Amino acid sequence: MPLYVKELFKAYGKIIAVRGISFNAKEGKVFGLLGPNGAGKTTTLKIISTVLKPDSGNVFLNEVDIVNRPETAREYISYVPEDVGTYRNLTGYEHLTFAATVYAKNKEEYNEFLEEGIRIADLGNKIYEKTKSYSKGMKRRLQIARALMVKPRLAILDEPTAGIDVFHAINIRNVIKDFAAKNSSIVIVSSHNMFEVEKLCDEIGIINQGVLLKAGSVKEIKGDSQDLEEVFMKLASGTQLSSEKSEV
Amino acid sequence: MKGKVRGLIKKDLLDVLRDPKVYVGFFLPLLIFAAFGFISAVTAPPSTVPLSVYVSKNWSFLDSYLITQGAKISSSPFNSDAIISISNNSNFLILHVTFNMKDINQIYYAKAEALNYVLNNFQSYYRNYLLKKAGVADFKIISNPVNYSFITNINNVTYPFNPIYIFEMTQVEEFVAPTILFALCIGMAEMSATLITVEQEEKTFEVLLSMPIKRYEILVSKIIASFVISILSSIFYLVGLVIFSNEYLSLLGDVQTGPLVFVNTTIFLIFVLLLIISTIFSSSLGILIGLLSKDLRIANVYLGLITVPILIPTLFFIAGGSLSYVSGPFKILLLLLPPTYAIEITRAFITRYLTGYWILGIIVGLVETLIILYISSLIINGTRLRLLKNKKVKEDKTN
Ligand SMILES: Nc1ncnc2c1ncn2[C@@H]1O[C@H](COP(=O)(O)OP(=O)(O)OP(=O)(O)O)[C@@H](O)[C@H]1O
Ligand SMILES: [Mg+2]
Repeated sequence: MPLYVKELFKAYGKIIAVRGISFNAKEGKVFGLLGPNGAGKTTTLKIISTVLKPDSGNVFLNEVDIVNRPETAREYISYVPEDVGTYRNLTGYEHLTFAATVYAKNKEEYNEFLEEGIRIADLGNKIYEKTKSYSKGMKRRLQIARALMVKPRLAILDEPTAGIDVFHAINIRNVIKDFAAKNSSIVIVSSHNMFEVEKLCDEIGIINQGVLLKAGSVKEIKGDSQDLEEVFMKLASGTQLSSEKSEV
Repeated sequence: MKGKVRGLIKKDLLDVLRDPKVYVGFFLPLLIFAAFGFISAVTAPPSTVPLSVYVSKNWSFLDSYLITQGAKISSSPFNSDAIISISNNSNFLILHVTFNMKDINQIYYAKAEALNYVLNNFQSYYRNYLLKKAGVADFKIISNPVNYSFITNINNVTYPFNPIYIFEMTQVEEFVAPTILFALCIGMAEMSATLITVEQEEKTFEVLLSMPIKRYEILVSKIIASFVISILSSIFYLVGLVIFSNEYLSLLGDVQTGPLVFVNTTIFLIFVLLLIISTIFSSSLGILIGLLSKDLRIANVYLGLITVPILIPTLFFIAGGSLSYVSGPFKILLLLLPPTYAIEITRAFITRYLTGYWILGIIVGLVETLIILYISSLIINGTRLRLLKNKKVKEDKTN
């Protein structure tokens, strides 16, 4: 079930956030959308996760039309929004049971999902505490666990490691990579951290100002250049940049 | 130090005042004042009211006194506002006054006041007469020659009180019940709005929207959750009302009541139904507000605005207004507001008489709640449709 993204356009009023983005993502691989702040990453991911409708363009998860048949598509996808929070007064465990209830087809699957969720979240006994006592990183782990435990065909993670320390970021990256390989699922992440994308992703797409400048494997994109940052600067030259210094 | 404070103030002011939606909230006092002024005018007692009195024993002295005071002497006890019968007790004059009213409203209030005024003056009028004519010397008799006993009939429910006393009881009861109902409804709207706005702020709403859950299921679950909370808070309202009424309304005596000491059981149960409908209506308004606001501040602005439709019937009844004495567009407005009915029926705690508006109340409350929920479902479906600028993109038919 590969993912095809074709000619997406999306405007918020006068601001055109996404102008004709197309790319494909393969099963068992992590695809990274790389670009500076305001490049249109979140907008693209919202469209792929059925939260937002594009003005035009198509997204297909194999034969499932995500834009026009979102209800069908939602069975196969999981989404972690950028900076997503939690329900303060629910425990981590309760968050997982909620997701398991939504996705599980039977009791066995429900238990299986929960077990997997607890394993991915790796929060120890903290999982039974209310999430208002969680740190940012714990909340993120919980949300990623919630998204991946149901073994979606397509997981969409918007800046999964933003604001997370190095140690935990490595951990989260490993979880994501493992998940994609083990379940031969598609994972799409976004980031403006070149270094991280290089470590985490099999393929990347560089976007700037709503346009996909280049897509391919990390190797292909890098070519002779030393690092992705250099590539990016070359690609984006001539267009005004608002990229921040990378975190982590 | 000064500069820092100025900086802090400036930041707060800019942050709040730059959102044009905030200004909508500024109109709130204007709306409330206008509503209050209008309602006060509508419910003000008339400057003159006709007062018809039937005097059971033909006594021209009293008849002519009443006529000089502007009352109309009626020839039959039926359809008269007050019936006076006279008896004597060792030179004291006793007037047995029965005051009839069909409803508790400002007209009857004015009549009751007029009657009391006239009867009080009759005391000195009769004293002068006694002194002049008969030369009665008994100081006891002269100081208080007329004694009164009162009966108030409200649609055949009889109270052994001066009608003024009933009105005073009603005023307190009609302040307490609607005010708390108002607070309950606003609280419910706030709770439901927050239920959605917090999800929007935390972005957990986006997670919900991406899950294999139907839009209507999201909406229905919010409604049911709010509904459960409505019921819980209504229970506390009712317990409070029972405590209040047992302490206060029981002063009116045990007249035709059911198992609950203070009020007829049927009336109480219908009131419970209307109360729940009002809170559900408020919840549904809250849900709509939650869907329309991206953050709590804007939700609060909208919540401020919806206090107005809930406040209008509250003020109207507190001011002593009655549905039978208003007409035209304002009456239609009142009839369109579900809290009207829950408040209107609290008057029946005292009159013990159902006006029949409650049937309309159930229909109006349910229909409007459904309409609001339908609009909410359009919005929740249209989070994308609304943003859809390109009409060529096909609508999602599976939604
Ligand atoms: N709700 C919105 N209303 C108006 N404009 C928006 C909205 N959301 C995003 N935009 C604009 O769309 C463009 C793309 O935003 P988007 O959030 O997709 O970027 P991004 O690549 O995710 O950036 P970041 O790295 O900062 O998260 C930006 O110019 C942004 O200002
Ligand atoms: Mg983003």
